[in-house]
Amino acid sequence: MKLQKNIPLVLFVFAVNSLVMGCGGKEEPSTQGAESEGKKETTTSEATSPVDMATAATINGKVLFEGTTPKMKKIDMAAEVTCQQMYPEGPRTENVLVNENGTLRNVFVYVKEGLGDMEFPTPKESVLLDQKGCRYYPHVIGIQAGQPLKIRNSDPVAHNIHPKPKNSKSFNISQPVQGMETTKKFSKPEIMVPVSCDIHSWMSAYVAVLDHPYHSTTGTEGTFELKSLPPGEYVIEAWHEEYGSQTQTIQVGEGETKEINFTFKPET
Amino acid sequence: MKKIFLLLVGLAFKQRRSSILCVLLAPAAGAGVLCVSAVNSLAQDAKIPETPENIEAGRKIYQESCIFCHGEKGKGEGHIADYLWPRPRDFTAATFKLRTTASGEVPFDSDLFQTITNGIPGTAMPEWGSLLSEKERWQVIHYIKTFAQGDYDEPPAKANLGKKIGASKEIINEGKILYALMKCWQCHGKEGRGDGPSAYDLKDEWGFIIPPADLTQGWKYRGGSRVEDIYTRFSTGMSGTPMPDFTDAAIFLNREGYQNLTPFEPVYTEEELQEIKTYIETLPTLEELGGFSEEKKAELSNRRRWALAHYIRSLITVEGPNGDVVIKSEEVEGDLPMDPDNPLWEKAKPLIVPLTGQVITKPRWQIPTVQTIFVRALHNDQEIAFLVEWSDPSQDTLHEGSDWPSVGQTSTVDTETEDTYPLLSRRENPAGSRRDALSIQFPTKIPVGPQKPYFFWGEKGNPVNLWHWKSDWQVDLERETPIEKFLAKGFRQWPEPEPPESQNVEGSGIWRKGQWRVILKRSLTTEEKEIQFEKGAFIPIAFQAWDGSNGEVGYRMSLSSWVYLLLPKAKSLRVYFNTLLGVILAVGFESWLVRRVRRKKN
Ligand code: HEC
Ligand code: HEC
Repeated sequence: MKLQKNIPLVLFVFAVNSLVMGCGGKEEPSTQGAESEGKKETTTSEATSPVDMATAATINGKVLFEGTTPKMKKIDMAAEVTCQQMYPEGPRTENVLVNENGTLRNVFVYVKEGLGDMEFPTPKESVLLDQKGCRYYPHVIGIQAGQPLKIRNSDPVAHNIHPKPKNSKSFNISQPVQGMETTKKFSKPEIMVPVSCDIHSWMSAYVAVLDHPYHSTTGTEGTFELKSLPPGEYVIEAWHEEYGSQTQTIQVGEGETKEINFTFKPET
Repeated sequence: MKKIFLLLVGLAFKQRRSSILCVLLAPAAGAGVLCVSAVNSLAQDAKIPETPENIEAGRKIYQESCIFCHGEKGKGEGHIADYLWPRPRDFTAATFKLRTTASGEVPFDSDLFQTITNGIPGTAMPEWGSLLSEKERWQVIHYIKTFAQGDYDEPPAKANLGKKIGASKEIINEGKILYALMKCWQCHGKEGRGDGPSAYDLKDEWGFIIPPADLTQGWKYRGGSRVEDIYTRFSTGMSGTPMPDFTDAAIFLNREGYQNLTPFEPVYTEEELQEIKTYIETLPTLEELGGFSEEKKAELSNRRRWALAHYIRSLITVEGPNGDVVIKSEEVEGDLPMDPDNPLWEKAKPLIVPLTGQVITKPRWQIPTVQTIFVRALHNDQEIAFLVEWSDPSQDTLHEGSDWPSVGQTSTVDTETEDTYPLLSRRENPAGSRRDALSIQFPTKIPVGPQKPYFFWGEKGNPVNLWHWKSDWQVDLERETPIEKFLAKGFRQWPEPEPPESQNVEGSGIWRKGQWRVILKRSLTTEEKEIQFEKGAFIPIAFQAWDGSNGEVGYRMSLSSWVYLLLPKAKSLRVYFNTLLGVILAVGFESWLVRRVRRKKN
């Protein structure tokens, strides 16, 4: 990696630790499944970041939803009883999840432009993509190019993991055993890599592959936070699988915290 | 269709390479795309360097030999691509099914060499080993790699392929349990007939539906059916398709991973589950597994994968079509068996008849379920019975509407309907509203010389009879027979039912474990104006099939070309040889016709 050469040039060396914490699912993870794991997986790090934490800024906010909440389609999981049992009210698709406070879940918010040619270390710690109840947890995740993606099958049924990236190499592996874990990587940035399981056609997840750590996925509160940003002007994009993406340009000064909100409306 | 047919013929002749003919003419002639190739052993190090000259030479070869399928830009969109299924590979994606590299990697050049040399069985991809020199094959490989420049920059990682372990009863048994534990049945079905619970929604990376392979039909394995080929396929996965890589899975098997066996219950019997449980007890615990060295894990994975490969190989129970075209009926004493399980049927050798999708008239149909049927015949001094068997993952015994989409409209065939290219999931055609069906087709009299009726429902002045077996009639207890006899005078009008008094074909059928087995019976001779089963004569016979849950009705069907039925004359060999001579002459005449067309073209 080019990065290795640049490391000596970096004046302030900080553990990426806090940085990653700021961008993960944190206090309101988007899905139950990833909650505990998500944290555990991303806390140990020795990599270094080019950012001066003393002047670092934060952008946070909410993603709001306006309009009538669409009803999600029922999923016919009759073929997998062990999965179906996990949904007392019957499983439904997760394309649009509107929270009780009127915010939208599973929106991926990230820095689209503004980091120039800064290079960020590739985190060594993995991000977890779990399969539970014949669903992916989380449904939308962010990862850095080259960062390990740990894929786990928590179900007693077989899954095959078949992402379809355009920029990186694809793969298609089988996990027929409960508890099986496989670690894979995507080498090049891409918004979004769709992930699916051929055995269960309803399963779908999205992996955002970035070359920096500034991303956040909205959870049950519909909030996001991009921490430890160098001061500057950024184009922030909010991506949603049904409603597409929106961008906003925002400037943050040294040590500043700024709030922006996005609003998604279904087209009528 | 005519245009395409001419195009194909033209192209084939332009090639002046007749062995490609069988592939190219297949859709037009309904002959079945079956140019099965033997797996050659290859000189892999004879690779020639990737120089601009060699790439340029490769481009010329490509334009002459590959372009009409794989397209000018290598996107798999050649002129005839829309008539093929599976579709020709899109080279711009650098995604290949047949590799010895790890999942997601590009293939080695030697993998491409192997594929191009041997062709891809069960698809339109011809075998080029006899048509292009070794050098030319390497050159064309250098050229097709230019369609995805950059993707081949990094050398691919080799798949984890270990040393071969030989077959034994024990290892095949282990393979059978591994087939259950690794859940191959999820797609391929318990018996390997391609009828697993997840078999119906599968799509390839280009969005086209792709059924899981029917593992009992080895001659259609894309990468060959030697045990080594099978081992390689599930160790690498088949990129671009749902078929995954199982190398890591074969390592990871452990006791804790199989605590909950609920997912097996709908598929495996109590007894089989007991066997599975016993095997699970022999697996390492997670903790033990964690303590294994890498070598030990690799060894375990390798043994399990060979066991699985030997088991899959053992599922291939019947040979592929071998060029035979004669169903030889065997004579039996007493009643003809109406139960397919009756051991009398084993007396008759089955003829394997290839079927292809109907692409002669609209709507064309490239994704038929039934692509191979097995036909046997038995007769006594009064009657003849046929046993027809074919794989069909679903039993569809309901039918809405009439026999043909628009019965009665004898003169107007719906030519407006768009061709239906398979973009849909098979599930989107609601199962249950269309029946499964089979037709046996005979000319109305034994033809003289090559004057057979057209193989697709005959023609005006040269009609055919269809013995049309219907699954919904099969389950309807009020009916005396599940078979209705039709008269067809060409595909431009729907066949018409024969009057009730001349309905004389009996039959019965059962569906079990992804397979239909249907018996059709009639008297050897009748008073009707229809085929009379004379001994010693070569009687043309053809087949059509429909799978209801695949949305097959009317022209959406698969069909065969003419084959022959022979009731041997016990004594007089002379007559037999005379008629055989007649058949040979007829075949000779047909190929003479073809040669004449060729000469004209040139
Ligand atoms: C008659 C049509 C036809 C012609 C001509 C043809 N191909 Fe193909 N080819 C196909 C089809 C169809 C497939 C896809 C088969 C499948 O997906 O199983 C294919 C697949 C391939 C593949 C992919 C194998 C893999 O591992 O996925 C290669 C490589 C290939 N063809 C090379 C060639 C070359 C080189 C030529 C010319 C010398 C050629 N083909 C000519 C129809 C054709
Ligand atoms: C997710 C569904 C799925 C699962 C699970 C699956 N397969 Fe397949 N398999 C497929 C599909 C689809 C094809 C057809 C690919 C094609 O036609 O190109 C296939 C093809 C094959 C073939 C034919 C190879 C060839 O050369 O054409 C073999 C052998 C095979 N699978 C073995 C296995 C074994 C063994 C397992 C379990 C360890 C397994 N499969 C599990 C979907 C699956």
